[in-house]
Amino acid sequence: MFRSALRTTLILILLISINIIGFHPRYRIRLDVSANGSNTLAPESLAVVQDLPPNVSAIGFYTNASGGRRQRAEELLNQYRLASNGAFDYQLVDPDVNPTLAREYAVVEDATLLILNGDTRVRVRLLTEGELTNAMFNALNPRTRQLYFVTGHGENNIADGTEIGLSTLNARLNQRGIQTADLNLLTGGVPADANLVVIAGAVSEFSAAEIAAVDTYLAQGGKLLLLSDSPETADPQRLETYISEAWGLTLQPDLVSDFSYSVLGSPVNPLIWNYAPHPISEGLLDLSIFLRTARSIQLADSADVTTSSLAETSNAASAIAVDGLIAEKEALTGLTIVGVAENIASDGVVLAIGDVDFVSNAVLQQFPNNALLFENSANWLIGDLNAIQLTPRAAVDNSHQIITLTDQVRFIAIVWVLPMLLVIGVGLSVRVSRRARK
Amino acid sequence: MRVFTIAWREFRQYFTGVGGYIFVLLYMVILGLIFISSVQPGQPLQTGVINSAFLTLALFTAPFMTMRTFAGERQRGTLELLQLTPVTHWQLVIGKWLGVFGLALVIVLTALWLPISALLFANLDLGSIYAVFFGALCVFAATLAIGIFSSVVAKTVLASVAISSVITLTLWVIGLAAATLELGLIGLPESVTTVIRYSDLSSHFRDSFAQGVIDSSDLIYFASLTIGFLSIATASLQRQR
Repeated sequence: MFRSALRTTLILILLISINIIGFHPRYRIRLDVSANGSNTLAPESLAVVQDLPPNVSAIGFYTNASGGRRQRAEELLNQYRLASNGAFDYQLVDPDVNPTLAREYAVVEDATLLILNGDTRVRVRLLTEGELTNAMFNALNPRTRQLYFVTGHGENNIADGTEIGLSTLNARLNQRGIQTADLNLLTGGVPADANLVVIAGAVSEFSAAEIAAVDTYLAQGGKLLLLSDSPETADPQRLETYISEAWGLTLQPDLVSDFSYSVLGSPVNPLIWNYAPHPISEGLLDLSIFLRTARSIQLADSADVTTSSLAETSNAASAIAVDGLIAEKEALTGLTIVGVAENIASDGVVLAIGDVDFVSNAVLQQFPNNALLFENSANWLIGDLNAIQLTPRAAVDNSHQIITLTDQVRFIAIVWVLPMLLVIGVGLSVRVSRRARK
Repeated sequence: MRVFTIAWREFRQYFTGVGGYIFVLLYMVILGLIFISSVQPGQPLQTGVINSAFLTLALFTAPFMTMRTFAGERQRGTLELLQLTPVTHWQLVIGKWLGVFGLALVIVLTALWLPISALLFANLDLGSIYAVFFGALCVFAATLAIGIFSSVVAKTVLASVAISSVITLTLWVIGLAAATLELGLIGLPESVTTVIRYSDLSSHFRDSFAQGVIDSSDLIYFASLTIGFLSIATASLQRQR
C-alpha cells in the first residue's frame, strides 16, 4: 500500500516537473500545420526577434473593458516570446489595478502596448505582426523623429491653444516621441534633420524662394504632409500650382458636401470611412474621420510620380464650387480627401489631406480619433510603419461551389446523411447477426 | 498482451450493444448540423465552426463513456471477479482506458468524414483540420482518464458521472477564472495566475490545435493529465482491494 502511494506520488512529481520544463519557451516546440503558415512569424520578424538583446521587453496596459484586444496581444506576444527562445518577455498590466505603473509609463489610453529597450519606449499602434516587428526594430534603432511645421502663411500653429490651434495634436505627437518645431522656409530652407515637413492650413501666398526650398527638399527624398484649408479662406496659389504640376495632386477649389454621411447637422461636415488598403488606413478601418469644410483632391500620374487615393467620401457626396455650383461627377464614386504622390526617382513623397480643421483643438476635443489619421500619415511618411516589410502570406482558398439547391442537397447527403446511415446500418447488421447466432 | 485483451473486450462491449452507436451518432448529428448550417453561398467554407462544439461535446460525453468501466462492474458485482484473475491493477486500468479510447477513436474518425468529404465541394486547409482532430484525441485521452479514475472511486455509475463531470468542468472553466484573476480583480501574484491559466484545459485545445498548431507543451499537458489520473486510478484500485 505504502509503495503504491509512494510510486503514484513520484509519478505525479515527475509529471509536474516535466510540465514546468515543457512550458518554458526555450524547450517548447511549435509545429504550424496550417496551409499558409498563419501561426508562424514571417522570416523578417524572426530575424528581428532572434537577434534581440536581453533587455528588450514589452509592457501592455489593458483594463477589463479592453475586451478581445488583450487576448490578441497575448497571442501575438507569445509567438515572439517563443521565437526568441526566452530572450524576449512581456507583461500585461491592468492600469485600474496598478495606476502607479501606468503613470510611470505615461499611459493615458486603454490597450496601450509599449516595446521597451532601456530608456527607449516605442508604442505599438496596432496589434499586427508588421506593427510589432517594426516597433521592435524602432526600439532597437532609436532615432530622433523631427517634424517641422511651416509658418509664415497664416498656418494653424502647434503652440496655439485656441479652438483653431494644433496644440492638442502637438502634445500627442510629443507624447509619442516625435519632436516638433516651427519652420520658416525663408531662413535657410528645410533643415537637414527634418524627417517630415508639415504645411497645416496655409492661407496666404508662398514666395518663389519658399517653393524652391520645398522642391529641393522633396527632390532629395524629403516627405511633405500638406493639410489644406477651405478654399474660401485659403489662397496659396503658387504652392497649390506647384503641388498640382510637380506632384499630380490638385486641391480642388470646392467644398465637399455630403447629406448622407455628415455630422453636427451640416452636409459640409462629412465623415470619411472609405479607405484604400494601405499602412496608414490599417488602424482606421473601423473608424470614421470627421472633416470640417474639406476640399476634394484630383489625382494625375506622370512619368516619375505615382498617385493614389487613400481615403474618400461616401458615393453620395458632391463638390460645391466656390461660386455655389455643384460639380457633376462622372460616376457614382466618392471624392478623394486623402491623396498620396510618390516620386519613384527621388523617393520624395507628398501626402495631401483636403482639410486642416480635422486636427484643430476644437475638433480633437470632440473627435479624438481624428488625430489617428494625422499620426498614421506622419508615422508612415517618417518610415516608422514600413522600416521592415513582411513577406506577404498566401491566402487560403476555402471557396466552395455549393450554390444551387441541388448542390446543397448533394452536400448534405454526402457530408452528413450518408455517414449517419452507414453507422446505423453497421449497428443494425451487428444486432441482426448476433440474434441469428443466438 | 492482457492489456489488449481487456481493451478489446471493453471496446467490443460498446459496439455489440447500442451505446457505442449512440455516441457516434450524437457527435455526427451535432457536429454535422453545425457544419452544414455554416455553409453560405459566396462565403468561404469554414471547418473551424465545429472546433468549440467538438471540445464541449468531448468534455460532456467522456463521463458517460467511462461510467461503466469500473463503477458499472462494481454495481453488477463483476469487479471482484476481475480482481481475482491474474491481471494486475495497472493492466486493468490501462486496458479499460484503451478500450474506451478506442470508442473515442471511432468517434473522431467518423467525425473526420465531415471535412474530408467536403473536399468534394471546396478547397480546405487540411493541415488545420488534422490538427483539430488530433487535438480532439488528446482531449479525449485526458478526459477519459479522468472518467476512469472517477469510475474507480465511485460506487455507482451516477456517482462516477458526477465526479468526472466536476473535475472536467473545473478544468474547463478555470480559464475564465484565470482571465478574471489576471485582469486584476483579485490581484493574485502572476505566478499563481500562470499556474491557473496553464491548468485551463480548453485553452490547450483552443489556442493551439484549433489554430492549426501542435505545441509540445500542450502534448505534455494532455499526456500528464492522462498518465496522472490513470496512476491515481491504479493506486485507488489497489487500495480498494
